[in-house]
Amino acid sequence: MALTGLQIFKLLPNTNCKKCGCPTCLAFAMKLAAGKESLDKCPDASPEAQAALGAASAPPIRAVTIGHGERAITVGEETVFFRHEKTFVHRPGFFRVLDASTPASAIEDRLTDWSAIRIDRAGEVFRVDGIAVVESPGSPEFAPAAAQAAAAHGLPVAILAATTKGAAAAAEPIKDRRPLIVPPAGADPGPFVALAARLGAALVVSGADLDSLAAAAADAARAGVADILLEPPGDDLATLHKHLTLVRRGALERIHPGLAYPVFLRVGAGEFSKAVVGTSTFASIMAVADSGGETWMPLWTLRQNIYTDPQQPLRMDPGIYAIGEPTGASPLLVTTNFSLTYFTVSTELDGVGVACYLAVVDAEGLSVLTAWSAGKFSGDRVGKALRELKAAEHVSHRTIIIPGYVAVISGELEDALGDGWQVLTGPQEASDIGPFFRDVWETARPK
Amino acid sequence: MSKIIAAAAIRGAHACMDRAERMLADAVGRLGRDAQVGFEGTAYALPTILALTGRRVERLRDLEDAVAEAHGWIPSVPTDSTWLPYLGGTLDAGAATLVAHETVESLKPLGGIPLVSGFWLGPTPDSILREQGIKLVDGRMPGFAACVGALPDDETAEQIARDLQERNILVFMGSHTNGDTMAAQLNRRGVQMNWETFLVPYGPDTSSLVHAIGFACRAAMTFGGLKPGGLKEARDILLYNKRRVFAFALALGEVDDEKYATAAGAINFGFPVIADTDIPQILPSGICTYEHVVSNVPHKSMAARAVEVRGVKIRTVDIPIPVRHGPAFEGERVRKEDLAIEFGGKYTRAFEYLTSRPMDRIEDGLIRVVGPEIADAPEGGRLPLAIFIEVAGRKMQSEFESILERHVHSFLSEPMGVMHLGQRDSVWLRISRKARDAGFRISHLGTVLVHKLKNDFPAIVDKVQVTLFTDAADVDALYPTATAAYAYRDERMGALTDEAVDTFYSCALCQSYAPNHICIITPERLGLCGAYNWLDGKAAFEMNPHGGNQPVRKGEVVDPVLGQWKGVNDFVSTASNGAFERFSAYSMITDPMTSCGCFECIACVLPGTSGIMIVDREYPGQTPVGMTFSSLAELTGGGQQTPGFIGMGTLYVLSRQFLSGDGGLARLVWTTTKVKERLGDKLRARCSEIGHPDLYEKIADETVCTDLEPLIEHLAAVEHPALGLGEMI
Amino acid sequence: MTLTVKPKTWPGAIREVTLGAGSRQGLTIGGGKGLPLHTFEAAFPRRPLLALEITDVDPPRWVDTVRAPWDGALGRPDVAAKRAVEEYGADVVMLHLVGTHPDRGDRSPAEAVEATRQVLDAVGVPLIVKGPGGGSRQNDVLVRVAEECRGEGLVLHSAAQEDYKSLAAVTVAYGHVLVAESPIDLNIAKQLNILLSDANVDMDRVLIDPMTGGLGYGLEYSYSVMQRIRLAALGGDRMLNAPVICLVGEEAWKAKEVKVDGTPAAVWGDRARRGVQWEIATALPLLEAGADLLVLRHPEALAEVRRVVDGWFVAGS
Repeated sequence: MALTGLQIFKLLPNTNCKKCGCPTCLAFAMKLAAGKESLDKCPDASPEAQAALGAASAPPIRAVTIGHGERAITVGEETVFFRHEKTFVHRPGFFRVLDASTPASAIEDRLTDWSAIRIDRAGEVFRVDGIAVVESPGSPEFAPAAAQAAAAHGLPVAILAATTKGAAAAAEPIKDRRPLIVPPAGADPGPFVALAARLGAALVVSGADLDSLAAAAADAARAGVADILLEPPGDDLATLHKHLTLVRRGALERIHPGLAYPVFLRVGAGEFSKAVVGTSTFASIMAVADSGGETWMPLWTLRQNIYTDPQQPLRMDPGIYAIGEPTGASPLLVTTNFSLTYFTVSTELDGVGVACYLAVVDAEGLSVLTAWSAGKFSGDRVGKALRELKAAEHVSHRTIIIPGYVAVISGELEDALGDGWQVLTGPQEASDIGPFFRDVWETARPK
Repeated sequence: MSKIIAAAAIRGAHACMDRAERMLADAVGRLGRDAQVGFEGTAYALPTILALTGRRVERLRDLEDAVAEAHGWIPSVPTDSTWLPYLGGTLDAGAATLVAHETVESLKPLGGIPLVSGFWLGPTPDSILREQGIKLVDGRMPGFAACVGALPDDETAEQIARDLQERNILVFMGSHTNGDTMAAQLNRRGVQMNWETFLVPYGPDTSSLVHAIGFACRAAMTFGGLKPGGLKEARDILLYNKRRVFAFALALGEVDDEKYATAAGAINFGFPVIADTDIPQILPSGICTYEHVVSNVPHKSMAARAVEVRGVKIRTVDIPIPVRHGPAFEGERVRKEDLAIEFGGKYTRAFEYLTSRPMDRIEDGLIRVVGPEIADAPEGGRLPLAIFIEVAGRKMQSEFESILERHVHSFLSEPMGVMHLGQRDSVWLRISRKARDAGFRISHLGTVLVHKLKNDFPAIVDKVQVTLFTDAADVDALYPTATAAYAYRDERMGALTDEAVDTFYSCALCQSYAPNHICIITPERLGLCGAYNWLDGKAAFEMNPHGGNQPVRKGEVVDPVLGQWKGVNDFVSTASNGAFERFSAYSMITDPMTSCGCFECIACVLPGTSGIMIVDREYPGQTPVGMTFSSLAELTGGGQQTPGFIGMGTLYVLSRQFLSGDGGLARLVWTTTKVKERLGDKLRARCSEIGHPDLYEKIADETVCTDLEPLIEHLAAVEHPALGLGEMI
Repeated sequence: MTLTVKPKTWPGAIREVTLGAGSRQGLTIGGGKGLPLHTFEAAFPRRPLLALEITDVDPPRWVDTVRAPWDGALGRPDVAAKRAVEEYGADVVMLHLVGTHPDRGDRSPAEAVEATRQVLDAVGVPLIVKGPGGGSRQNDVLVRVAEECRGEGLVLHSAAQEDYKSLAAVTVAYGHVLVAESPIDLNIAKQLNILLSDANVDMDRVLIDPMTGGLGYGLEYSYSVMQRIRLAALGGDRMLNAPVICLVGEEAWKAKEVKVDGTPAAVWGDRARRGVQWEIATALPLLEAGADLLVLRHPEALAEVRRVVDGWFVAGS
């Protein structure tokens, strides 16, 4: 049974010295209880406290950071098995596999393209998280160049090594960029452990079963490797899923220190389903072979879904979104920035095929009714937001369609907008937008 | 049960059984035991016999067995000296009568007497049952009436038929009174009778009424999936009918022994009898949901009374007012330049007052305007207004009055061109010219209220009448009654204590995002969202027994100081899926309640101050504990027990039981100005009550400090009472 | 050293529900005694089934890339059903009566019955019949279909909390299976099952549709609510242990991301292939969250999910 925040607090000095970075001992204790801090941040912790908290205060899964600077990626620190229990903390990183034997100029082109990719979706930016450089055994000279090129673009690097020598050659020059060394399957781990320990690099360890995996991790840790990732066995999805599950469960139950690390997976060409299972089932870093651009959007989006904090729903950026190719005479609708609301409404509008503008106002990510009852979608607030978004500049008319559930704000909103604006109450459910356009908008539309 | 009825029913049962047995013996004599018997178009053989005995009668020999069995159910007629026969024996006699009736009906065709002739339709085939029976079961048709006998004249017959039709009630007709039948009466009036008009004449004999029972039995077997068999199966079929098929019998004209016997049969199904003659009443409920036999009912109110006795709920789809209405018009404004008439605001007295009455004191649907109507007032004029709503319901309780009254606002906001603001005696109501020109009258406010109250609260509201006073003298005369009621309600709510009740209510509406969270709402601790108090929970449960608010029996006291009861702990353990075993209503330290995420405020301990702080959702800044609302929310929410931290409704601060297990209000050392302002004088009053009249001023807020050290200094400087209470942990 | 992660055992199990009867070859789903797909530690007597969706009329909202494999069969339910089963290997067919929606063809209940009959005649697998959605038309259509096709063990999609009585009655009367749909809410799912049970519907004839959010469009809500429903069921809640059906294809192919070309191509790739992967990436997480019956649209998505399921239940057992 884990200690509660208050129980931990009683073990702390209660000096509110702020040396741990928290303003009060209680705040620090609560973070410890949540597995988000470790006791060594407290310089004045008594030996009794250390004994009592000891292992219990360390996060069940260690944090591991790959890369350096703005694009460094941290994984691990997970505390739950089901996302609904709290949340999954660190989104997994998808490292795009780069064959090092590709001509240098082509590599440079690709890295330039890839590192520049930014896709905004529901408040998150999708980017290429890192590059997994493959060492071709026949031409060891290519990998170091590719790794350096990737690092030069600021991207985290994993080295899918074929040989110890190759791994050393690729990792050494970028060792201060926290690369990840991935030994070849079935290789003797010894030399790689020594290499990672020497360079301070992160290392992937593997094993044929749970026991040997945990033992390998423990050995590496003893040899001085701090940042470890576990590559669980499993040639087929069921076996892999079993080990992914057992590693997470074992880590949370703290059955062996060798399991207290994030997980690494290789996804080969054509193994899309494996990437999907990895994303939903606890994998933290995946080296994904490129089997066509279409792999990426679904994976990123799945990751976004699974790693959304259940208590912090996805939010859209406020703005006026065009559906189809609207003109000044097109309908203008307004809704909240709760992503699910936005998606439901925009998808339906898309399906109905009526070009229009959808104004999304900041309602702190709440759905329409909840936002209204919390005072975040009142006539005044919506009016103010519409003015800030310059809604009037998008349409030539002065009619705004509001969600049916907040018919009650219509008068207040008309007052707040002034200037001849009229409020038209739309349907309560998005699925009724089609009939609404046909039956209500067509007769009520400004002529 | 009335002895007169019991004796008559048992006599009647014997008579019916004799006739059935004679006819059966005759048929067997003529056709032999292997002759086939049955109704056309049904796969349920003789359905009533099948349901009651489990016997699938196909040949006369089967019928002999069924009749013999049923004969055994009939007790002997009670003599003048017996006093204890009644209920069970009479009901058995009724059931036997139904078997006898069905026997007679099934034998008629074998003796050359057709079941279908002229306007008589005879037994209903399965094909119609499938189409119409489902409507009884799924509620599209509110119920059926079995009309027994005839009315004094043809006009009254038509009136009764129309009254029932208007309510969408299916009308079966059978039997006769003094040689006349209701169906013949309707026929003479030129009324169409068939399955399209829902007027279905079965036959002129009392025995034909068994087809109505057969219809009900088949509905249960078909749509309830009930398999006939022995006694238990028969009972399930009867119960299904009681719960889902809202049927009743109208006894028209003299009630003879056979009709009594038939009525006793119907009561087995939970179908009560409403009579227009002065027969003995059987009021207490037992078999039927409410009364069993209600007599001497005037023809004019017969349909309405029947609906009430059977508990039939009738929903209106369209509210008959001349303007469009619906939630879409809720927020619209009626501006001065569009105004036809207005009430209240700052100009005239206007209030709304809803009260409950006994069932018989209310004429359902009665709407009166006492004083000027809209046409009598000048354009854009003003009138005083009292909206006086009287409701009655079997499950209505005076405690629900305020909850229903609160809905007047949304109801009266729904017609297009009507603007309603405020509540109680702060009402402001406007009607637009457009609405007036479309025909909207003041009386239509009543129409809306009657329909909405009945449609939206069918579980507690059976009858509504509305009086709209628009004359200053009347309005002023009613006003003291209304204000007294408002004051009484407030006082009662204030006086409602946790000790005074034996049941709390749960709220699981937030489990979708906090899976193990469960709110326990007590009279002195409202839901942490601030939106739901104990009464709301109670009313919600009455209205939807399977909903998110369930009653929680307190049970034995486990700890009076912390506020723990065995019943609550058991409930919490189950409702949280085993995650939590104990809940304290009055402590944030020991087994505190869980928090979902929609709390109005968070209270948290402040070590070093011996006190606690409360921060509200709107407050964006830093707090003395070193966390903002959102970081506090992250560790308090999600349905976990987090000792030292709770989510709460703001008004809980004013409760006598506010963290009483931890030291109570005197512990409050810091909160936000918003919370202080919202609670204002009421908080001052509570401070005085606990003996610290100057506590309000001693409670710090963000204008005093947002850090712990200055807060501790402040508390020492003002000599905050928390300092004398000792540390909480 | 031997590490032991204690296997999870549960007091409850998922109910078994048989789809199809009469002229159908019946297929049973449910029965799982552990967390979904945890075949390594619990018994799963039935594997999840995969259905393909067909429609009564040419579905105007289907995007070209998912129309392609149905070329020549759209709006021809008999042809589509045969193709779904014989060519594409669907275990079950879902006939979506799109055309009965007042705004999408307004076809009569009689026409709906006709379309259903065509499918029943064309294939022998269990059939899911999906109405036009909420409101009185849904009942008119499904009640008629249920009555006219009695005894076929149809899966009627779907009854909701506000309006379940008619479909409950015909499920009982005519021997079908009823889908109880709830808006991503465990408590409503449970309440609805209690109501259905009160209406004498045998719980062995009920499936839960917790409502599917497609990938990127609320998938996480469905995912978590399904996991919670499954935990409650395994914990012994007999009002939540019905098998779960997910309408994957319908939701996945609504996404904007399957309709647009998207740039840069380096991360958007081929639109048709992306659509299929969108559907796969919706289906697999839902299987993991507890789906027992997936309704898909694209045969290539079905083929890949089939490969995964088959491999899983051989390898894991």
